[in-house]
Amino acid sequence: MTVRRFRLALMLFLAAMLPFGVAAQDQDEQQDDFFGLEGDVPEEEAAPVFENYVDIGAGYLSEDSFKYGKYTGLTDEGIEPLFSFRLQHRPAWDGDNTTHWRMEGFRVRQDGRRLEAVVGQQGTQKLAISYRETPRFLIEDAVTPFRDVGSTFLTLPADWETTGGSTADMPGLRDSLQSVDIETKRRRFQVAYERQLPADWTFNADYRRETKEGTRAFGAVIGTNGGNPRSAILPAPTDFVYDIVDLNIQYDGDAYQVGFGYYGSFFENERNSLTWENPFGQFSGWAPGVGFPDGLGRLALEPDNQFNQVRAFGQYRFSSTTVLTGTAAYGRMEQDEDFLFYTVNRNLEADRPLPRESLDGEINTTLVDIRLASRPFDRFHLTTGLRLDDRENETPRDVYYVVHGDAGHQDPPGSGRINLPYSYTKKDFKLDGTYRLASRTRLTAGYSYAEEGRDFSEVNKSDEQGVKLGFSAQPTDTASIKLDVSREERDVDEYIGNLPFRISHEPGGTAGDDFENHPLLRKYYLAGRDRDKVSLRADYFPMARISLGLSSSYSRDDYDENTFGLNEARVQAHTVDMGYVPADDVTMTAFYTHERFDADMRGRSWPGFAPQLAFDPAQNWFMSSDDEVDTVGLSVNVEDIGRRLGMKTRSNGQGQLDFGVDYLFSRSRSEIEVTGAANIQTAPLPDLFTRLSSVSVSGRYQATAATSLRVGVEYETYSSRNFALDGTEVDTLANVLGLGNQSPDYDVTWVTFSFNHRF
Amino acid sequence: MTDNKIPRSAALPRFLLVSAALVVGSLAWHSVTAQGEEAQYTREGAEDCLSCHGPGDEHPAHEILRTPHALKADDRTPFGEERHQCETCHGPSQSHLSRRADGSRPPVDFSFEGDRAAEEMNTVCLDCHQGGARVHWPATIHNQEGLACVDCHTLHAERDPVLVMETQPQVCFGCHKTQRAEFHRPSTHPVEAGMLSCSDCHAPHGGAGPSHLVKSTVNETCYDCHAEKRGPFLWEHAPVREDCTNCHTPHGSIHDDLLIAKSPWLCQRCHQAQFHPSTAYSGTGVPPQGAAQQLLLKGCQNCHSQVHGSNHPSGVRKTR
Repeated sequence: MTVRRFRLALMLFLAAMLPFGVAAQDQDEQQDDFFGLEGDVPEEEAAPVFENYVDIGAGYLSEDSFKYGKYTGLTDEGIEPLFSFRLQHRPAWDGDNTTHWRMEGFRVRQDGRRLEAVVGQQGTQKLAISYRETPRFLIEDAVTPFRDVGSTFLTLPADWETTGGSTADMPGLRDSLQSVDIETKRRRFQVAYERQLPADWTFNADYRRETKEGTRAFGAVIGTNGGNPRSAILPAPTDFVYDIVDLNIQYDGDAYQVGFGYYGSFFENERNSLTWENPFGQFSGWAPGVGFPDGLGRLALEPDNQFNQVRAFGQYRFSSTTVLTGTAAYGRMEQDEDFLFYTVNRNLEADRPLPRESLDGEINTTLVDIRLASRPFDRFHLTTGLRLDDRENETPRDVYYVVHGDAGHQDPPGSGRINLPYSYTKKDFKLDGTYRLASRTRLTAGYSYAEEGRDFSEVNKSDEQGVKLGFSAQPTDTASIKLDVSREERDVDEYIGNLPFRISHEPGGTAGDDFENHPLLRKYYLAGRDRDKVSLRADYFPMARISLGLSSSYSRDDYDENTFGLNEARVQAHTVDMGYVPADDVTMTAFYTHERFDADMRGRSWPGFAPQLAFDPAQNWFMSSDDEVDTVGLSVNVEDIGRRLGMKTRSNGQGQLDFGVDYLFSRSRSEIEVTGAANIQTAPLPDLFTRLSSVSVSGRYQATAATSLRVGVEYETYSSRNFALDGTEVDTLANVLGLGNQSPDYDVTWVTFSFNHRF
Repeated sequence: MTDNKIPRSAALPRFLLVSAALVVGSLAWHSVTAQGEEAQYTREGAEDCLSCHGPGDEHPAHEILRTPHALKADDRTPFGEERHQCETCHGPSQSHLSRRADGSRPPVDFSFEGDRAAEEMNTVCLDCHQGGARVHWPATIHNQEGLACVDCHTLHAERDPVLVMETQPQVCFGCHKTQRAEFHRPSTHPVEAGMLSCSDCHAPHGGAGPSHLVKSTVNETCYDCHAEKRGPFLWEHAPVREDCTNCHTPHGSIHDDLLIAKSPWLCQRCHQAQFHPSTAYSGTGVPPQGAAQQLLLKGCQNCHSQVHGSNHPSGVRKTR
């Protein structure tokens, strides 16, 4: 569907709702007889009160799709059981008992599921135990020649052959391919306990263990430099364990509150390295013995680490109109996993030892955030804040003699590389004032100033100032508007582009004016920048049962256009939405959002063998991207539609038939244009696009006061095009052995039938 | 008879005295009456209120009896032993039970709607809830924006939608409309799937972090679930150490892995060295015209897969 077509659909939807609007104008007279069925409801017993429910049923999915069931697990064609429930007890409100409990299960029989149990004595203590499984289905059509997937040593078939250093030189490749699912699953087990202590103190303890297991796609290269890399996208194992502890004790008095806490996060990777047999044959530029069958590659997977933090926070009320709040936290990140050796290939010369057995990495974090909120006059609200965010990286610096890509001999003395343990300090000041002209009419103004200091970075110091103005009003009971504008300017003292390059080399390894990145490059997250933003929001209720909304924002980041890297980025988002309630039991909503992201970038292409070209403007290139996203949502829900069709509905709900329709459309398109100066040859790139369209219809019939039947049908289509994947087979690239996966498309129908019993 | 006459000279002062007494008395009576009306609670409390505000009423409130707010045995709640149930929050509202001459009812003493300023409404809630997670509330953007507690919370419902994982996002999307659309992009966190809620990352009542995040910084918030990216690593990637949002957008992206742009151009915003990092990648690298390894499949990550940092002694270029 094109943009024009779904805009037309939106207009038709709005037009279709107009008759409901006319009908609703005189709602007081017509509301009970909206569909001309006044007096059909028999006077019977009141609807009983239920606390618990069980929902049992089954669903049918019409075809396999990882993308459709990415996070729910609804990926396989066939029948899927459905089961959700809630059992609970709350004490009688006027009794003496305070004990309550609740057990709840959400999609218990699916891969994406949640279970929770809570028990407590209100006002005294509460214990909550929960379990959550979240799958992430990524690639369903992947193939690989590698065996022992899931292990830390990926091998090739016993009859693997190579005749050279290209994917075209693997005669047995096609016959050796096996399917592999790229998917992970996250399991979370959590226990939380809360205890009310004497004298207004509260204690909270929260422990969480999460695991993440599965297979991911991981690029793995063998080669000494960019001239001879040979890579394979590996089905790499994921086997993570996270333990998180959060303790908190807090005093809540009338004049002040104060709390102290501890946060500990402990990460353990059960697979600390990944080794693979080199599927490529010996290639020029590699040391002998690197190609198949002798050569191996080895990656270090994420090292175990931990973070411990203590914090204090609180609020102090100087008066009823002036409040001070603040947080101070001190933490330490640590990582001391044993290093792997420089290379796994025994055929390579690597005599120089590691400078240490492990990193002994340590980063100390300090956070101080203080804010003062005051209302010096009745209508004036002032907030000011100071913030310090410091990351002091105390990881030791050493010289490492690298073996590049398990393919060459170790770098000689004088060519060593030194690690750069980055630190930074950020200081912020903010002042915001709000003046209330009327109950819902406000003027706002704000000023901010920030200083950033870094080491081992191209920019040592920068500062940023910002101002903002805003106005919001509710001129009538039925209309409101809000407008905000802001500008921020970031200034950089000095940009020394080759500083990290020089100081990451062993002294004497580089000359003072050597550079890696082009001297005119300015990294966007460090560079000077002007940022302008404007946003508008308006809401209007033309009638009591109709709401209309408009939300619009535009932001522009402007960098120095005479430099390379990002020159300008613009983001805009516009939303119109509507809500309509023609009767108490009929709800209609619609929204349309258009987003656009533009970016302009410049660069200069130069080969190392002709360094003079680094200063030749004829080597320049320009890239602009234009990403657009359109999203439309429509929803209609009618309660007790059966009554409108002449069906009897008892006052206890029996016989009630509810009906709902939802439509969602989301489309994205990315146009990337790269053009070059005289010496640069370019060609147009295909657009990237995705398109999702989903319609679901659901109905619920209340068979008895306690029992209902639900039927749902969802039809969803998804299509996408990505030139990086489409048509790129496992051996399309000479230097990279791929997984052969293509852009996902699907066309599924998901039908559900369930039985709900409340008691 | 003549002796009983009040001398003319004394009549005026007496008249004035009586008049003044009448005025003062009237004022006093009016004051007492008015004060009495303002101070009167209903006789039966919630029973009086819920006799009308039950199922089917325009303002149903009966479900509050099944919420933590309604528990007589918990002195902290509005329904505590010595408190006034519904009128603890809504104020003494005996007059609301009567009808005016035109048949309408006088309003309750304090209603959480209409023209009333958010600060005034919030004062009622914060009277009990100023501690706990609300410690940072006074200086939050939500407070500065004039948000009332009842703009997000539904107090009379058995389950407040903003406190239920499946329904919470729809409450937030009521104002955060762009974010609603972002979660329908091809790459998202599993919020729409009901496996994550806004409050897993955001603290709507405020905290020490930016954008109402649950932790003090963006990265600390991300590391709460993605601790494997925390390091510290031997070979750090500087923008990663500073802020995950330098490369990722958290709610949704049209590019893989929640990236803000596509590789290799995202990487080229910061990396333009000799040879392939500074090369202009265009349609010449896409089949059938060509097949650039930096453009197809995972782009730069075909080789430089350790973008979050490498702990391999030979991983200086993030390939190990």
